[in-house]
Amino acid sequence: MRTEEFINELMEELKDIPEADRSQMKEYYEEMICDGEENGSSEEEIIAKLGNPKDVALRLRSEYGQITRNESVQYASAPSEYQGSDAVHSIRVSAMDLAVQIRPVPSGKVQIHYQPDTSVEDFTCEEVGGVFTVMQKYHLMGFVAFWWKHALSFRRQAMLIDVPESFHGRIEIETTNGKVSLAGKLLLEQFRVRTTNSKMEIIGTDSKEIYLHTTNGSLRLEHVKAENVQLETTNGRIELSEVSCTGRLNAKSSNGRIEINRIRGREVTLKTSNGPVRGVMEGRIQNYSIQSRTTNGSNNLPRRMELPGGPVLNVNTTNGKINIDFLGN
Amino acid sequence: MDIQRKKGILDVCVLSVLKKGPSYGYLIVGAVSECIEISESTLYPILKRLESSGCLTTYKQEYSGRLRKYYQITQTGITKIQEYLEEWDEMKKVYTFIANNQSEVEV
Repeated sequence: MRTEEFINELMEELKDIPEADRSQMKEYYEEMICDGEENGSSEEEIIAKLGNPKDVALRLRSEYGQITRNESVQYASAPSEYQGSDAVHSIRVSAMDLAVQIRPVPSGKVQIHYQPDTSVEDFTCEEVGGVFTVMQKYHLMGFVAFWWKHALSFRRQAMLIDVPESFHGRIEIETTNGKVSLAGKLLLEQFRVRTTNSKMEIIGTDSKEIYLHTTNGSLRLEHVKAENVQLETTNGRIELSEVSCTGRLNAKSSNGRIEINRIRGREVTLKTSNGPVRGVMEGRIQNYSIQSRTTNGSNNLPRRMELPGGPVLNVNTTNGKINIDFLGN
Repeated sequence: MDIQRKKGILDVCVLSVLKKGPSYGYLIVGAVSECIEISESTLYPILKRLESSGCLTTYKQEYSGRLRKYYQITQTGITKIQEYLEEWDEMKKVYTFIANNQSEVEV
């Protein structure tokens, strides 16, 4: 491939990127090739080393989102950011093949950072009566687009959502094939997430209700306070560290271990298969009503211990050990 | 290596190359490749990132009939290298601590 051909193909792949950035990318690669030649390589060799223009474009594009994000002041008017008003009490995201990261910010408004790829997807963002709705989906030609994207793709896109600490409402996210994470101090009414083939993580946030559902991915909660927590995954582990619930804490996996560290709840249920359940509960074992069961594994808990009125612990696995200790009051 | 960590290290590697003097893309890739894998396409976003965070500036200079873009480290960039090295001193203590504990725990 000749320089001109390489550059033209690359520019074609990047045509939705603002011209100023695009011409800088062009200049960079042109120069790379010239300098390579002057340092003794052939044009062919250098271009082969750079890789196929489609792959180069994908890499530039995935980094591009991060660059513009860091330069948010400079790019404030670009269509990659969408802001809600002060009245927003619910955030709803519906997406495909997209990782979603919630980032608590000390002040400001709810804000979405995302660079839609309009060649394959529809993207809308609207606020009606305090409900901020973000929709991203493939065009009508969805199947073709989906195939196209995946055939080429290391395009691991991500959407970043800034949520101010003053927001105390509901967040609902539905996506596929993308990780969902929330790290930082927020006080929410509800946090409800569904994804597939990816893990989820909540660190440091309190929410009245938490509902997380994924497949083929792990679930991790750390320093979380809630009334009720419902966690479900398949083929993934569940890790709970310093999770405290005034109501139900329900963790369910299959083919994954469950690890707990200082968790507490009025009614705790830990259920998996083909994996151990182990770790430390907060409180005294004498105060709990316990039901536990495993097949093909040792169990250090009583099978059945009734204590009316006290907190309840249910542990259930097959082909795995149960080993739970109690600590504190 | 963890991607985030590698990214951070690459930033500092590029800066350390520039500390020896202004350089251009092709040479930077060559110099950094001596110690850690980097491709032309990986370098581009790194340079952009370092430029937007004020760690380097760029200028163009004529070279054999065309303009070549040179990257030059700034004081912010030099400070960033120093911070990294100081951080590394702390990290070394942690690594030594972890490694020593391993040998003591052997049963």
